[in-house]
Amino acid sequence: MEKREEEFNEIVKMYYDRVYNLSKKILKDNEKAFDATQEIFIKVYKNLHKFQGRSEIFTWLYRIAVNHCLYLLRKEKSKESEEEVEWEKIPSPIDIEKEYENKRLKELIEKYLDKLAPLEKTVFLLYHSDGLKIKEICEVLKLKEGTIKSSLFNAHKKLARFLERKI
Amino acid sequence: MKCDREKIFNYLSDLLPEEEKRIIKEHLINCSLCQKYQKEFQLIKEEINKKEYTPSFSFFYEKLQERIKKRKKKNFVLASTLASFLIFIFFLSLLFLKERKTEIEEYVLEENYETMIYNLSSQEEEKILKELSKEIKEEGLILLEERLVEEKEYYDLIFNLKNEELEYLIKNLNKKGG
Repeated sequence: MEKREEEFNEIVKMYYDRVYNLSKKILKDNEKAFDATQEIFIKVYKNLHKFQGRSEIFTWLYRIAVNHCLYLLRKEKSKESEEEVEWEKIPSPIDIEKEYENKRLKELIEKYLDKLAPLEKTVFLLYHSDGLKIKEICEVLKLKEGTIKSSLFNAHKKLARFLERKI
Repeated sequence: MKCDREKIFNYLSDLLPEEEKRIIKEHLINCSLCQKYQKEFQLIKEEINKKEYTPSFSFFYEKLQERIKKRKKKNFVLASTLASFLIFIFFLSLLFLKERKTEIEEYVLEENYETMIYNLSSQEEEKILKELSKEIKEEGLILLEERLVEEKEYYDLIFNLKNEELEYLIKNLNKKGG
């Protein structure tokens, strides 16, 4: 029992930052991300004895984290009405450098991420923000390489179209 | 090569085959539009990689431990409640069986066999009949022994016995060394 506690504490210490940041990027809210991170680690605590070391601990942890965030996202989406997020008109096309100078880039990226399907968003963030390799994302999401790559291609296609103000 | 924003993003994400990568790499050197696409993708990546405010670890850990403790307590309460319930059911059934036994004994004492049989479950009926037949057999055995020893009515006796009774008698007499 004590060994399990020690192991758990090590995992929390080591991955708290990454799990919190990933949750925040997916859920876009500090409080929700904090709660989600707690729930993720409680799941880890509960299931630590089931971890058989067949994969890296971080892959296993990320799988729990991503699945939990996607679950919350789905729950949220089903609650949300179909109302379109109103956002001010920006002269087309979007000038990223200008938006960056005006410190509006973060807001713009959030709007772009909202246009993505949950899987595309997660893959995009895991690849570009968490720096995971395609193979690692496959392990985390238990999906085939082709699915991961096509999610990334789609995300890039949507990004290009978003910047051209076509979506 | 035609300038293509999407392709530049895929190129910068290392998702293209070698041949295509080489073409884009060469194209990028002289194309200001594609260089702009490259720059915007880099800015986007930079933005999503910015380290944002993270609540302090000690605060997070404290809250997490609280939740784990609460959860353990909840599980303990749940398990104790379940255990108490099972113990209660066990004693309740013991009490019920005891009362039932007294009830049946009262029927027997009062020789109220009809009500007793009517009130018995099939399992109880089977058990009681077994016990009764054991008693009857024992009584019968004593009687048979008496008749054998005292009255020496062997012929009539054996003639009138059922096969089952004969077997039982022989078995018990053998046991007693008779």
